[in-house]
Amino acid sequence: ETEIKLANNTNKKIRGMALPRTCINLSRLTSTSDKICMRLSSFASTQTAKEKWDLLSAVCLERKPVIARNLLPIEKEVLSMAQKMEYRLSLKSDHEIQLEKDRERQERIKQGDADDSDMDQASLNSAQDFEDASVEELSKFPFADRITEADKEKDQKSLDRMLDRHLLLVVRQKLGTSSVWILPQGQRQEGETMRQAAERVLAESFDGKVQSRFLGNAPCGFYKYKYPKHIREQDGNSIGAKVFFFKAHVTSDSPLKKGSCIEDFAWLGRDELDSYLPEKYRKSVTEFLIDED
Amino acid sequence: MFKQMLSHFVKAQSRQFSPCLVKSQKPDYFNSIYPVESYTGILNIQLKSYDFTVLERFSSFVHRISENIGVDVLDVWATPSKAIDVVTFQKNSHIQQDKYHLKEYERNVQIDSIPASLLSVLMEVIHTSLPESVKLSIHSHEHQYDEIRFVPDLELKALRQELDEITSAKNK
Repeated sequence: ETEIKLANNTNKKIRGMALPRTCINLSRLTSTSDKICMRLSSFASTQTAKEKWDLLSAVCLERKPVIARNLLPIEKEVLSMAQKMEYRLSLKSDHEIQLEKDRERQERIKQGDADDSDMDQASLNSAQDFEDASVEELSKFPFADRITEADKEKDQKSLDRMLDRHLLLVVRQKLGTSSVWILPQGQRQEGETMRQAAERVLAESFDGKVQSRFLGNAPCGFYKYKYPKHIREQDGNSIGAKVFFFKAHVTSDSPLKKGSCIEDFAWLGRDELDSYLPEKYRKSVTEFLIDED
Repeated sequence: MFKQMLSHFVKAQSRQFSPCLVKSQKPDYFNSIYPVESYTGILNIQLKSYDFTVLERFSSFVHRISENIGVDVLDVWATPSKAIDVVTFQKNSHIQQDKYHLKEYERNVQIDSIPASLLSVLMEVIHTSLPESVKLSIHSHEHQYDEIRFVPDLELKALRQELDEITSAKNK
């Protein structure tokens, strides 16, 4: 519509003069160029406006299970079956052969067929005695409790809790104005790799060295969030933060002391994460944590 | 005004067409900014335990998992076991109370050129699924680990020593 109007206008205005062909052609083109301009303005804004994101590394520090989990009923059945098969398919051990020989010797002595060598052998410690002594020693052995004092007191700062499960380190940090329970995180500084940043974050969060082993240089997870509007809109500020998680295992039992960068910390089991971590964050984090049924 | 519109239109057209040009020929700098995956060399997953049955089952589990995850498994072998004698004494005396004979068995799974990011996943999985009494060690392969597998040929050694003695006696 606009195309025709323009053409008519130009024709009306300059009726007397001969319009150059290029002008008429251009008038047709203006409408299409308007459309292109409108399409490209949105295209240009996404291409040229460079979004600035802060790069953060976070540490996923875990204490691995210390003791094995209790077996499920089906696992118990499979184990007993496997043990039976193993027993059937295996050859006799030295101890079992000795037991048999002793029994045969006892039989011969009873029936009066004993040799001199038999009488000599019978006086030594028999295999049966050894077995009895071993069984008695096992029954006297004091096994440690599976449920420790820390479990009973529900001390979330102790590493002795929940020995058969994973414990994840969660800290309370101040982000902006509010404090949230998150995995320890910090911004990458100039000249650092992301993993070095993660190690620094861990060192700064706690007093004294945290004995840990990082699993490789590649991050295991990712989470991004935007800053509130009033911060975003200030010139030179980033739009948000991109957090890369790095996995680590804690290698010592010694309790941690809180550093200055964090307000509080806790070692949490998988079920307790729900009540501490924010919803969306927890979804990203549980993506890279090993499942526990 | 028409001139402005024309220049604007030409610029707009060129912007619209330029992404198509980039798609067909990637610029050289693209290779350097594309993330480079680093591959490790030959690694040995060494499993040690006093319990033979558990160790065997677990080594086959590790082998199966490594294959399923897409890793090149070169070799799975058993190293000769170590016999360990433990002697307990009665309190404050030299009188032997108990003597224990233990055997430490060993299994190795050798993997080759695993991407570093996948290695951390594999390590995590193996560590978490370790059964009781099994010790895990993941290290790069060295010549000494091959040497341990072979029983030294004492006869050959003795013969060589004799030969050395004869030659040295001749030289004198």
